[in-house]
Amino acid sequence: MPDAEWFRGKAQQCRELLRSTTAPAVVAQLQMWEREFEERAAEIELRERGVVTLRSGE
Amino acid sequence: MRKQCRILLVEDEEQIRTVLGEAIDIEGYDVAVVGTGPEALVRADFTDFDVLITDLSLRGGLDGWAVAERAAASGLGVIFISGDPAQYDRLMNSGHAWLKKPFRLAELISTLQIVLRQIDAQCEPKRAAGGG
Repeated sequence: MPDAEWFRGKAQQCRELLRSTTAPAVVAQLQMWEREFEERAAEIELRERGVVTLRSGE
Repeated sequence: MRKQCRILLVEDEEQIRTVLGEAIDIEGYDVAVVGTGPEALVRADFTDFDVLITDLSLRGGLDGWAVAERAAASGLGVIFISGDPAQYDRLMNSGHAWLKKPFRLAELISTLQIVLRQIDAQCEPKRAAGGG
């Protein structure tokens, strides 16, 4: 499973690709994927923080 | 041990192709990516693949319908992707899975898993060892 950094990198790639197109369908798709990658990164970070919190509370 | 599932992705928009290919690959599928219908037919021996994912409108004189017809005849599962509302009725009656653009990657991977089960594919995704 890729880590949060990988998903953040993919979100950044979507933002860079967005600069190279004005086609509405491509823009809409890349914007959706950019959000999705950011969400996946945030989920992983939250999960990792949860594990750290649990461990520190032991 | 089952072989790794092989996916043929046909998408003519370079930006979409780039992200989509990597997103499918990271899920553990062996993905080959091409940009046109003729390229798909020339490069791909369809028997090498388990599922075809194709955009409907392709450049190069051969659309997704034509590519899918050949792929389905070789026993591949088919997933269409399209952002053209004029095609939605035909897609609904096609007997194949399809996704309306824009779509979430999670939605595509779920659809891919369903199609692999439907065709009883003797393969599985294989994630890189030690990854994450």
